Amino acid sequence: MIEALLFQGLVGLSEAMYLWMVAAGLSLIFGVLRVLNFAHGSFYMLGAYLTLTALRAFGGNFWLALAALPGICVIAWGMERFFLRHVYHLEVAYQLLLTFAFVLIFDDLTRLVWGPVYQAPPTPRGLDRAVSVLGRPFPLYNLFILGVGVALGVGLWLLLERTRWGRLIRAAAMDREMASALGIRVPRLYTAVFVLGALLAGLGGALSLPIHAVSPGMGELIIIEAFIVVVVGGLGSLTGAFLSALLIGLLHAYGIVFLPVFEMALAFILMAVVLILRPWGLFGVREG
Amino acid sequence: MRIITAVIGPNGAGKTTLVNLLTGRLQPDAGRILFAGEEITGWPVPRRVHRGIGRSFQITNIFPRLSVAENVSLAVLSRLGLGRRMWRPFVGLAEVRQEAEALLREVGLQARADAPAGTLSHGDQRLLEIGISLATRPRLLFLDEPTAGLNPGERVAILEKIRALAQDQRVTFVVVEHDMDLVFALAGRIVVLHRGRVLAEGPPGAIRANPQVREVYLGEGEIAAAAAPSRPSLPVPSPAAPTPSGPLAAISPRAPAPAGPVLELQGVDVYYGQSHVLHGLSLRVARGEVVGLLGRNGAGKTTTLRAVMGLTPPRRGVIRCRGTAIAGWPPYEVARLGIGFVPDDRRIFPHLTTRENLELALVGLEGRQGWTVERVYELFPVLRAVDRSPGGALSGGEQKMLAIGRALMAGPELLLLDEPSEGLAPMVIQSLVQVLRSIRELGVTILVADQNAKFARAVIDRCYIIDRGVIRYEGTMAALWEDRETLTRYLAV
Repeated sequence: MIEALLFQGLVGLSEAMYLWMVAAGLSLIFGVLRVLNFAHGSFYMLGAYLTLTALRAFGGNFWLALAALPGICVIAWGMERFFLRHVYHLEVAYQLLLTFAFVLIFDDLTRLVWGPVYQAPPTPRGLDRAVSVLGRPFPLYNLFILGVGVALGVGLWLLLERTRWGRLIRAAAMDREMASALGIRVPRLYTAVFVLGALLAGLGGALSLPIHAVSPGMGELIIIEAFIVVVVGGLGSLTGAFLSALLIGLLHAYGIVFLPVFEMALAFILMAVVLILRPWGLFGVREG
Repeated sequence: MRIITAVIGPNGAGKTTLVNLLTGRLQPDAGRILFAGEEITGWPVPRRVHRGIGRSFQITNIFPRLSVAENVSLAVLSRLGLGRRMWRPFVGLAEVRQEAEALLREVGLQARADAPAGTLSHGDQRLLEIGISLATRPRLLFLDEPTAGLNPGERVAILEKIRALAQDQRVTFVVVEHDMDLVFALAGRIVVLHRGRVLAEGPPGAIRANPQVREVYLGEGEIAAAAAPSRPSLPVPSPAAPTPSGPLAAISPRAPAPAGPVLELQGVDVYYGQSHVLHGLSLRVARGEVVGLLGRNGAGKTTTLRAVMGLTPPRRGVIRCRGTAIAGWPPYEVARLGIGFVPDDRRIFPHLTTRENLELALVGLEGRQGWTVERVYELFPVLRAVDRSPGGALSGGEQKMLAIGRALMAGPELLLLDEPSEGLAPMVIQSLVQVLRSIRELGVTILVADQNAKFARAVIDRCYIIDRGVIRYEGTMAALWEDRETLTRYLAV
C-alpha cells in the first residue's frame, strides 16, 4: 500500500515538471516585467509543434529535433519587441487583452499549419523503456523529465543568484527606474527575460511531446494550471512556483486515486483557499 | 474663533506622519488624539471620516468624464447613503442637486456646473476637489498641498477661496503646504515641526521672528565652523595629499577641461501630467565645480535632477552634457555618458548586499575608469562592516553613503546629489561634508540639490536658488550668505 502511494507520488512529481517549466517562465516574466502573459501557454504549444515538425524532418531523432526550439526565441523576441513593449506603461487590462489576442492568433496559426487533429510521436530512443521502481515498472522517460525539471530549477537559481546578469535582472525587478539610472539597458534586459521565459515554456512543450498528444488549444489547458501554480506559489517567486508545481502535481496524482470525482476541482480549491488566507501566495512577498 | 492652522517644517520633520496619525492611517505608540473633545486615538479611517475628518489629496482625484455638478453630487450622495436613495430618484436627487449647486457656488464653480470635470483648468480642478471634500460635511479638512503645480493666478484664487471658506465658520482647515508665501498669507496660526517635535507655534509674525525657526531653516552657526578646512571627524582619506597608492588616487589626475560646461540646461519645462513644475529653467555647471541647487520642499530641485537623468523628460528645452544634447535620452544612456545619480530616497536595492549594490553600478562604465568596492569602503569605512548585509537592512545614513558610493563606482564625471543631508544627524552631515570635498578633489563635478543652506555653504562654490520651478538667484555661495534678504526670502520662513 505504501509503495503504491509513493509510486503514485512519483508519477505526480514527474507530471509536475511540465507545469513547473511553464510556470517558471510565467513567474520570471511577471517578476521582472510585471506583465501577466496569457500567451505563455502558446509558447508551450509552439514548442511542441515546432519539435514535432523537426522530428519528422530529422527522421524521428528526438534529440536533433530539439534544435527547433530557438524558433520559440525568435517568435517571443518579435512579440516583446514590437508589441508588448508598447503597453508596459498602460493599465494591466491592456496587457491582458494584447496577450490574449496572441493566444487566439497562435491557436489559429497552429490549426492552419499543423491541422486540428491530435498527433503523438513515439518516445525517444533510449528512453522508451521502463525501469523498476519500488518493484513496479516506471517509464524511464518520466525519470528523465524529473531530472530535467530539477536541473532547470538549479540552473535558474544559479543564473539569478550567482551571475552578473542575474544580478542585473534582480535589480531591474526590484526598482526599474533606479536600475535604469545606473546604466542598465532595461528594455534590452526585458526582451532577454521574456525570451528566456518563453524558451522555458517551449522546452516544456517539446519534452511533453512523447507523453502527451499535441493539439491546438493545449496552450490554454496548461496556462490555466500554470496560473494556479504561480498564484499559489506567489507571483514572481521561482521557489514558490517550483514547490507549488510539485504540490499541484501531487494533488492531481492522489486526487485521482482518492477523490476521482473532485480531481479536476482540487487545484482550483487550493488556489481559492490560498487567495483567502494568504493572497500574496505561499512564497510571495506581501505588498504595501 | 475658527482660523487656518498651518503645519510647516523641513524635510523629515514629521508632517506627513502627523497627518497620517490624524486621519487614522497610522496609529500612535503612545499618547491620545482628541477631536472636538472626544478621544479618537484607536479609531479606523471610515469612523473618523464619518465623524467629520476629511482629507484632500495631493494628486487630483476627480471623475474627468462626469460633469462638475455630477462629481459633487456623487460625494453628496455617498454621504447621504446611495443605497437607501436609489429607489426614490426624483425627490432624493432634487435635494442632492440643490446641495451640490450650493457647494459649487461656495467654491465658485457654478458657471461650469455642466462641463465635464476633465475640461476644467488645473486650478479649477483643485477647487472642485475642495468642493467634493466639503460635500462630505467635514468639521476638519486636511488640504495636502492645495496649490501644487498651479500658476500664480490660480494660487491666488485658491488662496482666497480657502480663506473665505474658513471664515464661513463651518470648517477647520489643516494645510500641508510648501509654499511659504501662501502659508503666511493664509494661516492664523503656524506650528513648526522639526525632527518629530513641535519647535514653535504662534501667529505668523512671531514665527518669522523666532530665532529657533530661523536656525532650522537657514542654519546659522553649527556647521559654519566646518566651512573652514578642518580635519575630518570620521576617518576619511585625506583629499589634500592623495598618495599614488592611496584609495582615491587613480581618478585624480584628469585631463585639463575642454571648453564649455559639463552640464547646461536651457529653457527647460517639465510637467507631471497637467502640473507645470519647471518653468524655463536654465543653469550651467562648469567642470570641477560644486554647484548647489537650493530651495524649499516642492521648489523643483528633485524634478530638475530627474530631468537631467531622463527620468522625467522635459517637454521643452535643451539639456547638454559636455555639449551633447541629452534631453529625451533614456536614463541608462545618460548614466553611461558619465552622470552618477544619488536620489533623495536612496533607492538601494533591498535584496542585494552592500557589495552587490556597488558592483551592479559597474554596468554603466562605458570604458571609463571605474572605482573598486575597496575604494568606496576607504571613503565610507562604515560600509565595510555591512559588506554582506542586504541593502534593505542598512540604516538610513548607511544607505545614503551606499547610494553615493554606488554612483561613484562607474567613475562619473558629474555627480547629481539629491538632498544628501536630509534626515542625517549633525555628526553624519559633518562627515558627509568631508566626503564631498574628497570627491571634488578627485575632479568629479557635483550638482547638489539641498534645502539646508548651512550644509550647502560648507560644500558648494556657486549656487542657484529655485522657487516654484523658477531660478530666482544665481551667484557664489559667499555672496548669497551676505545677502540675508534673498536667503530669508527663499530659504527661510
